[in-house]
Amino acid sequence: MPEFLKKHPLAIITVVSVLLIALIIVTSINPGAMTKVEGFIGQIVTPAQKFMYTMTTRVVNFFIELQERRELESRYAEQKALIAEMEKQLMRLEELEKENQRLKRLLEFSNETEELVLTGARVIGKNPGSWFNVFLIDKGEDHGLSVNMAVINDRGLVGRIIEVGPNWSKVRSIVDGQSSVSAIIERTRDNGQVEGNNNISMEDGTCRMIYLSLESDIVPGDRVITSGLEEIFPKGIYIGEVISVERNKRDLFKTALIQPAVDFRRLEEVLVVRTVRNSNEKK
Amino acid sequence: MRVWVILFILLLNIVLQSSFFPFIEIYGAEPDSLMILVVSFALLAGSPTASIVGFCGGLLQDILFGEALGIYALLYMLIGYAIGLVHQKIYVGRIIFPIFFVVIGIIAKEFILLVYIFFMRIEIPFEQLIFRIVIPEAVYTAILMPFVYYLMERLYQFKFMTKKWRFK
Repeated sequence: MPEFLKKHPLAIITVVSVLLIALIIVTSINPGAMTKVEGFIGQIVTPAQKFMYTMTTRVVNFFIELQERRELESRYAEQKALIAEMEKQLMRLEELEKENQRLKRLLEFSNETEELVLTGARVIGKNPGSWFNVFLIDKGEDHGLSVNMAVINDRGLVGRIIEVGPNWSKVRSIVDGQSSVSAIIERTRDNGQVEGNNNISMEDGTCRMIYLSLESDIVPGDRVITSGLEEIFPKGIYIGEVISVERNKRDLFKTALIQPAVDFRRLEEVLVVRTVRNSNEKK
Repeated sequence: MRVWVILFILLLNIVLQSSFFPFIEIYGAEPDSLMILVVSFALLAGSPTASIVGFCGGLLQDILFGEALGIYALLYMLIGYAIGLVHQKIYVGRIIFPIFFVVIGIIAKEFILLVYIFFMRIEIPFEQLIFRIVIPEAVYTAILMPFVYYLMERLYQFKFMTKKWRFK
């Protein structure tokens, strides 16, 4: 191969480029076409990544931030307590849900089943570079996850799963430019669409809520929650707070800048919400 | 032997990049270590090696994190090939030229990504793009470049790295 490469390097580069461009087009039109190969390679690399990630976390915790360490640890404990508390609350929610279902059935309103089941997962890697805010978690198909499940943590909505492998999944966070979540303002019940603000790195991650009607009176500090309209995210998950509201002259709607509640810099543990509905009917 | 060494470097790179680099980022800028490797290989070994390294490394990155397969493979391969063309044509020192070429590489990469993003119909503010991604990333990468390049140069002093490729 080297001899041939040396004789016709440009020809080979051109051919490979054309093939790659075709591959880009195919996979961007039809995502998930190569999932099996990805699953295979992901399965090999994931343990090493997981190991490295844990190791670096430890090194950072123990050696570099000796002073910050106590603070971090207390924060960690706090978060754990929060997660535990949240799980308790969710159990309570589940109870309420069941009761609600029973009542619904009684009233013959609906026979929809909505049930929140949770599994915890650990973040094992973030995409390199600053372009797409996608990260990997260490649970996959084997643990019952599938595409479009919502990912949250104790503070609020994190994102949704866009691809699953045997023991890993890719999650697109809500601050990603390609992410779009249907949401409502908690106080005024105005509907809108929350989109990732930009493709700039997670650290400056804010979201934009668009398609807010002009009559809506939204003020900074209002809380934004999911509306549950798309059947991906359950209703009522906290997204974040409104920072500012603006209206462009040519637009027929208002736009609000939103600070997500989740701290995307320190994302270690997340919870995956599976609803019975999106595991039954896959779209 | 050499193939295994390169493969090992690439795997180490992808693991480091996804698990270690988020901890050393400054204001959201992370160094592009694959670009450093591709440019180092291009300057030390020329186009064929550099384009293969770029292709494999980029593809690995695509498979693990990308949504559309092939974009990183394509751009790293092309950049590796292009920079590899100057191999043994100019005298490359240890600091100035490696930094120069890695900055060129970063700019080329961001430009190709911009074209790709344009076709994906994602809106991005252009100014922010320049000031928040391109410049910080280029600076950070350029700072790391001489160290990695020095190590790679040392690696290329071993005979197994150069033995078979130079026929004639």
